[in-house]
Amino acid sequence: MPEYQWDFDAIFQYRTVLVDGMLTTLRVLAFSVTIGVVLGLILAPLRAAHSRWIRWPVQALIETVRAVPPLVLVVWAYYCLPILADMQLSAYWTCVLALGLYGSVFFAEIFRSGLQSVDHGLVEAALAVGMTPFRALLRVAAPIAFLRILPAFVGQCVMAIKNSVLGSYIAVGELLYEGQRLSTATFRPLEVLTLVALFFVVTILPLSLLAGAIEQRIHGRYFRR
Amino acid sequence: MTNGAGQRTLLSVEHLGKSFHGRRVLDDISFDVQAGEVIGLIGRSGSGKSTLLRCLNMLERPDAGRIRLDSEEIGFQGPQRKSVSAHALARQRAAMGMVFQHFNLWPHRTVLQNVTEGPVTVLGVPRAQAVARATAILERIGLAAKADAYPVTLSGGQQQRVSIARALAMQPQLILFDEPTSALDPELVAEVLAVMTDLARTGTTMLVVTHEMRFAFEVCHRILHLDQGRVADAGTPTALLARPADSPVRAFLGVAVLALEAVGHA
Repeated sequence: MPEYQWDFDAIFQYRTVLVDGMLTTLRVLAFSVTIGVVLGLILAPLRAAHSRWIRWPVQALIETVRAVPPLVLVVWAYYCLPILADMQLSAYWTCVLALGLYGSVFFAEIFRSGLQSVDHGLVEAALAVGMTPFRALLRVAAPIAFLRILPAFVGQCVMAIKNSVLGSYIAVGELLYEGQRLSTATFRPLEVLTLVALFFVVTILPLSLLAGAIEQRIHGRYFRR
Repeated sequence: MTNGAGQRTLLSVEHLGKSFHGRRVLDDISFDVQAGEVIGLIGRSGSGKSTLLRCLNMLERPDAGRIRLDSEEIGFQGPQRKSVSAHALARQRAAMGMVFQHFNLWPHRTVLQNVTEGPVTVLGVPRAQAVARATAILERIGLAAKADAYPVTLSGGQQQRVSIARALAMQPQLILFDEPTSALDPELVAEVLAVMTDLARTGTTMLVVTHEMRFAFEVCHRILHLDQGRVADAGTPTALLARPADSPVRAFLGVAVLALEAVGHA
């Protein structure tokens, strides 16, 4: 590779392709993380429910989805949902739903462990000053749980960013897919794919640093180290 | 009874019973508390003191009996003992303060916010007014300088004083203390007992589960001695100390009785 001539002209010429890919990646992320968080918020209390007739099916769903590689889930949803449910979903929405579902089981486990980590005495103190159980959850248990899970939550968001490239396998026009197309069309894989990789580095690295900083701050301020 | 005529019964407990997994923890407990009275609950570990206290504000659900605060039944309604609604129970609990062994201050709130949280969110007191009242209480217990600190930065004694302030801010009719000094390092016990003594002397109705016999016999107006879930004995400190040497309460007190007599109550 000593005599390799870097040439970014071709990329610059087709930059709209890459920009479109980035935007699609960001949209896939926005939708799939939102679905994951909302579904996770629904699953978490069900997973911790007293009745085993609620708890067991939810737990089974969570364990099943967790055991499937996310790429398999995306491909399975793409080819099997139309047969099973007679649904005609675009590759884009199939990818969003599959990744949303995949993320939701991890978010659910994070939320549940956060709530269960809150000392019950703190909730009792809230009840003792006259809060209803629901208000005690909103004012005391949930905020404390949120502080505890913030690092894990950011970590899961990072995983969601990484998983978003799986859409390329079913031809969702996100960054990796568009990058691969462009690299074959221009015979410039080194430039294009390095750029694709860098996009993820500059997206994920600040998030990871932020998570570390938040963890430091939270522990110093609210909890015993 | 030491209480003169004209005093008002604030809390009345009748035939209270509670079992955990078939084991009887509270067995037919009855007593009254007058407004302004300070009651000490003493007894061995496992005698049911804390469970009794936690039944009074329904943190534990009693199986039998009834509790009335200012003649309103707590937790249950009607002849079928139907549970009251979550809102009604919350309102009833708000009238009873509680101080826990492990303080249970909310770690994500400052000292001041811990004290104003109840008045603002439960009673709907305007924030400025709640802050003013909380500040006055914190001054009274000597922690005004810590208003903006987070609980984790405070000593155990300071945290327990804040938790007393949190209970006081609700202006409850009575305050339940569940072994308030048991989790403290010995050198921090005195500052908490000083605050409690101050409250007792200024007419706060208090029920105190404690192993601090000196506090119980010096400050409390009346003491209930619990043994195996029953009220084994009850009376003024003077009366209990005057029991025969083979009585249950004297057996429980053991050699401590000599020190207590020396305090000057005999």
